[in-house]
Amino acid sequence: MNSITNFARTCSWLVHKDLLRELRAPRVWPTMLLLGMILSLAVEMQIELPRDQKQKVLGGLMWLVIFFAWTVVLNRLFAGERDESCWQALLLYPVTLGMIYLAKLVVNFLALAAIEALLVPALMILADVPLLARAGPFLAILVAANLGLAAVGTLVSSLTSGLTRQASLLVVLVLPLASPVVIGAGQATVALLGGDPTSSFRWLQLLSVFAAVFVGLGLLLFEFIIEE
Amino acid sequence: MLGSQSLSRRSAAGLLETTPPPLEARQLSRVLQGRPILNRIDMTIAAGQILALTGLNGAGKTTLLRCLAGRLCPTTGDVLWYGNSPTRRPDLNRLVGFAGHESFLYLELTAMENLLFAARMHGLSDPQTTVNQMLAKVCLDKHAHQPAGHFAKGMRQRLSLARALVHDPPLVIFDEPFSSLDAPGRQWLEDWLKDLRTAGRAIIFTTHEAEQAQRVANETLDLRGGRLLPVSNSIAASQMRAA
Repeated sequence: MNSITNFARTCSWLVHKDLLRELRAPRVWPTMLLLGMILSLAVEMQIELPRDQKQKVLGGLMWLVIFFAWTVVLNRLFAGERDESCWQALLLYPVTLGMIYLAKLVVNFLALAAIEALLVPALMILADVPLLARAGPFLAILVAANLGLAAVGTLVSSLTSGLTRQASLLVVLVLPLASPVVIGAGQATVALLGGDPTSSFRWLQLLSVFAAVFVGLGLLLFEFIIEE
Repeated sequence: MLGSQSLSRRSAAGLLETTPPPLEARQLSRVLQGRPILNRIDMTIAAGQILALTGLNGAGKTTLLRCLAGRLCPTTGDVLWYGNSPTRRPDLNRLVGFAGHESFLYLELTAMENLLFAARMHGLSDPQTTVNQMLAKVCLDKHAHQPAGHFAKGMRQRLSLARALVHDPPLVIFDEPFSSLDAPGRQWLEDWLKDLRTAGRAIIFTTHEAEQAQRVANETLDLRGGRLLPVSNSIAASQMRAA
């Protein structure tokens, strides 16, 4: 029990450090939020459909907007640790690589939650999409999709962090790996908005399995990626 | 201190080792991009000793220190901290304080936040008190709430050393700790290293200044051709080559 508490405490301090750095010198989050807002406005204004159909389409498209805005975060997730060789210092602390992976995953998850905290109300107001009409299932979709995206993103970001052309390679690798989450979350949201909770639940199950698999893979592979 | 020499010296004095030495390298070799940097190095540092490491630029001092600090795997040979290999043992990192060429500091965070982060990573029970004491020790207590990125290079170096020693490790590894420090700063660091030695810490540091090494360290070794030579031998070898 004590070791679990220590593990959680260390992870929380690692997350705290990353959030504090972003708060002190905002580099990524303002760009990410601005991009998310512009993309959602552009999408909303281009779709000319009857109200009920538009609501469904936008529910799905919201995930594409979230995905593209979120890729901004991935570039800096590990790159920030390269300044002043802080990554070396991190490996000199008595922390396991699993702790570092999970902490980065949580930061990634929180970044996604921040985009959603902005976009969900924005879409509800701008396009009258009743995203919170079934708040419980919608929240479950958000959590499962965020976990899946964060797990994939953290793994790929660590893989490309030492490369000179990180940004381009990162997107190329993340796109195919994260597409099941984007498609699954879009389908689950559209089904929920269309009044088909059974179908939405099936997609949610798929998202949960994907998230569990990639969190597990990340914990297993992170050590080898870092050593390479 | 050279392993075989120190052991034989201690055996002669009738001293028996009851615990493994803080730091030991056995037949340590490292090849980088096909070029041998370190060649079967044997060394031991005992508690309460300071070892200075000199050598020309590119001699492999930093590579050796990174191997000793567990940050670089040797191509062959072993590094042992108190008899244990640090490979895949992050829990052993509590034993070592390492400061390298770069500061290892988060420049957006204040001096206080940087040290608090390090103290928390090491799981100290009262990080705030320890950090306050450490900031006073490195004369940065008045700058505790300034971002490290605003510091002059010497101040950043002091903070970097404080970060490395915030958990009071028994084994200290510093790569050119005197660089960037002004004259009073150098004197201050020399005194601090001597205090640490008195407190029983095992210390190894690199420097380009032979006089400074002699003032501070019990022993000075020169890294040349991937091998460690006692400084007197090294000077003789260079004189022979010159002749």
